[in-house]
Amino acid sequence: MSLPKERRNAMALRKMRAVLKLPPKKIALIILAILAIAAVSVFVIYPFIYVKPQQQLQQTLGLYTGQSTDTINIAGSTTVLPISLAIAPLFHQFTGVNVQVSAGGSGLGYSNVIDGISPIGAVSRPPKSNELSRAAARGVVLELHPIALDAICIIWNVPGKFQGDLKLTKDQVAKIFSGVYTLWSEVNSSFPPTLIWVVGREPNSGTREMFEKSFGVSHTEANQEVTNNQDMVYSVINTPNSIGYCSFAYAKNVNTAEIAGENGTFFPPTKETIRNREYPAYRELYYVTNGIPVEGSLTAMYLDFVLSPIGQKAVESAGYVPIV
Amino acid sequence: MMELLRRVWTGFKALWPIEAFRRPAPSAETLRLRGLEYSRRFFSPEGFTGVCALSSFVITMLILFFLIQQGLPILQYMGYGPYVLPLLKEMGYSEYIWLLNNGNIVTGLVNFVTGSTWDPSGFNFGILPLIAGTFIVVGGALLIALPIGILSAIHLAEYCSPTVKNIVKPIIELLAGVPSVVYGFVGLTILAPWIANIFSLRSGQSALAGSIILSIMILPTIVSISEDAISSVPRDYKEASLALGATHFQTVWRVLLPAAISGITASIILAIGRALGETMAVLMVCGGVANIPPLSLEMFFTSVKPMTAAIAAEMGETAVGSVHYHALFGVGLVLFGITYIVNFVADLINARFRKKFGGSR
Amino acid sequence: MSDEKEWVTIRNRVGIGEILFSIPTFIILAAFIIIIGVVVYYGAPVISVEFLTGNPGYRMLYGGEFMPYGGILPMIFGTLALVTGAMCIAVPLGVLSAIYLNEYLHEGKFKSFINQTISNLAGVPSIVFGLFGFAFFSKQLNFGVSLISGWFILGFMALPIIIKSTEEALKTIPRGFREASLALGATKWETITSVVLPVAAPGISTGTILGVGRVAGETAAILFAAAIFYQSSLYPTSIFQPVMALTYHLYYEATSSPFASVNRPYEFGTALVLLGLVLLFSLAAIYIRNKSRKRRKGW
Repeated sequence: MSLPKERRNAMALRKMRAVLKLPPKKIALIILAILAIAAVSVFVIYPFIYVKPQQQLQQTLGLYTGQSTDTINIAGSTTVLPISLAIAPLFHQFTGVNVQVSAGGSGLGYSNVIDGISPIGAVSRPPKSNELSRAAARGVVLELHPIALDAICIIWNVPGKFQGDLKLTKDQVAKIFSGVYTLWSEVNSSFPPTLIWVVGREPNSGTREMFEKSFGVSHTEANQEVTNNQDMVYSVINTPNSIGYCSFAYAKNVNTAEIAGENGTFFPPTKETIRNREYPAYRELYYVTNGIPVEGSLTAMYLDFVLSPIGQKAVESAGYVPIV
Repeated sequence: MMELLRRVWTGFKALWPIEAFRRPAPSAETLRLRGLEYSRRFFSPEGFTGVCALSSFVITMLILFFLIQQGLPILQYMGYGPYVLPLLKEMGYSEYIWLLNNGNIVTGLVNFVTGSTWDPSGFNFGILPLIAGTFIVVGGALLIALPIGILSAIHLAEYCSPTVKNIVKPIIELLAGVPSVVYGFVGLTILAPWIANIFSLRSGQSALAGSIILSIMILPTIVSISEDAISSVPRDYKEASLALGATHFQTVWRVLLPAAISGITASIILAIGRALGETMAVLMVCGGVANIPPLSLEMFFTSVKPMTAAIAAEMGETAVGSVHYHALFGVGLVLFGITYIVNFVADLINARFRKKFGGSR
Repeated sequence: MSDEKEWVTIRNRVGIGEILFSIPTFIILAAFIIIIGVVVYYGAPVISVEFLTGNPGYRMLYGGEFMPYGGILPMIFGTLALVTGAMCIAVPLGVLSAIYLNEYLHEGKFKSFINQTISNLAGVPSIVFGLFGFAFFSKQLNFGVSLISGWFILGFMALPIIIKSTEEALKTIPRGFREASLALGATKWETITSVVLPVAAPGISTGTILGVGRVAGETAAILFAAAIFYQSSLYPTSIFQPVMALTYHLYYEATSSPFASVNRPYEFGTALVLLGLVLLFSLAAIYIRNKSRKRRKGW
């Protein structure tokens, strides 16, 4: 500390000025300019250079590869949701990949794949015509991979009658639900002549759509409408002389009707009959991808896992029928 | 070491001499004319915090910009009439919507707001059912909450003992913070089945359930602000009225309430604003059927779909960039406009009362 | 206080006013007690250490129902993560804005305009915030459904609350403080940082906690921009990944999940945890406010 403070500071200042050889005003302006460019680049240029890894690979390859992304986003049908929820932690245990599951309807599953937001979608129906045309317009080939089987069970509750007493053809089911048959005795002569209480689903239901398509019902006359499968089962269980329909996973503790197949034999909805495609009112649940997944890509690994014995056991634990 | 750092810091500070930036100092004359006593710079704490203060303005403009950017297409499509889109869909040419890109926006807005069918899958995008749903639920909520809230505020301000007030007021303010999902969840699981039981309906999810839940949600707002307003009426008013021989009830009814009317109106408008923007509670208990309810008492027992519930329910399953997507942004734009108008009216009323009463609230 | 004497005088006359006006208060209290009571009654049996610290899983139980089991720890973490980030954005921005509005800006058209803007922003519906966040942060800036989108959206939602409460806190500081500091030779900024802000700190923290309470209970804003129902890695591995939040989980499970009506106890448990979290924040805010009010009585 040889010199007084002011002298020392002045010397430091002069040294720095000598080093920089610029008037202070210019230095400050340069610093400001650097900050401004940094701000501009963050908010303006960044969105154009930041591309999610999946999309980056998609842009280069036109398909979804991407071992390095470590994320799969599966969105789509609420029917397939339990399957995805059952498989996601198992897949994570095996591979460490983060599987993100959400629902939103089969329409969302298709549009995610068509718009390139995700390589996989979960759907419970084949694509509609406008989805096919949108896919064609974008050069996307919708490839459906069946992973599980679901079935519509006709559930019924007539006091004094038990499982196996009610055998129906598809035509009879259609007549019951559209109001042609009003008494149980019209359906089956051994049943008492009580009024049939028809329980239906709300208009936007996928289950209702599937029911109406499988059984050829154009117009349902329901005495009561419920909004989900559990409520349907509870309503039928607690209402005597009622009839309704639900997804296979939910038809527990309730009588199901045996439906006639193509050749006239009546089949109850059990895992075996559905698996062998004998029970007529079944449908397949799919994962949809853009083209056939590239061998070794994350999508292919996931699909292989779903169709493996472990995956199919998870499908069973979700309440559906394994397809393999 | 510290010495070196100190020197570097001083040298760096010296690089930023204010003197180099200073405009020529304003003369005394200029300062007197401006009325300033200090010189203001932009690159100063004042400027920096001023930029931060502008952030709320920037955010509002950003919201407006993106709502308009994504919502304008639907107004353009509807500019050719409310039946063109459904016709396109029916004829199977739904990918030719871009032909409608140059529709008149004002006509489109009128068609959008007055169209009476909201059916996204059939390309019917008229939001009158949604607006009707919002107004019925909010109107019902106000009908229930206003009397209860204002009377309760009077009770808390004038009639109840300080101990009770010290317990009840914090409880009510505490419950202003309960999340709306919890209200909606309780409404869904407890209130809706209860209503279905009492009125023998198929499903209790109706405008009535929505109104009840919404009224419980806006009650804390009404009660606390009205109570503050009534308490802050100057004591002279009350003492003068009592001195003239009025009963307590007469004092409250004819003197205090009119004096506090500005605060009470402010609370009402705040409550309206909050009720209009409420999403989750009405989403879970209102049923979600987008039909215009009949204009009778039965309208409270029908299932409605308020605007906020429509956006929340349908946004998750809409493809980005589709007509439905733009329509939902249009609904958001209308919602933003309505809440902006409500806030604007609130500010107007506040300013008017401040002028009239000169600082009573 | 002379008030007490006046109370006694009036209360001796029990008029219709007393009885008439006390009914609505009891109605309100009853409604709140019912709502909170229902959530506590149905949710308390579900709360256990495993519920609060476990991870969710999904499997078919013996009754034949496919349901979640386990706990909700990732959801609690998600909510806290969203709230923390949102406050990191809202508090600096809000406090600095309030400082400018209160200290530097004099009354005038511009100040009333900014005040109008802030109250307008406070009144914007949360679903509109969600739409804006989705369009701007998720699509335009390409963050996708991510934690950082949630931070920005929730931060912008909490901003007006922070600004308003900080302004209130700054207004209640007597002018004498600032004048004394300026008289001692401090610059205006030094006054603000070393004198005004420390004194206003309780009010600012009250506002922060109120903002936290509001943001923690927010669903509509994060509905399409930040939240997801389930992801197998349970916690977001980067800020560009979605997050599992309590509010979204409660909403989604109660309405759209396949096991909605059979899983009510689990949902009530989630609701109770959410309610407890938010009420904890509100209680903390009230406590801080009361403590600072006692201290301020000495001024």
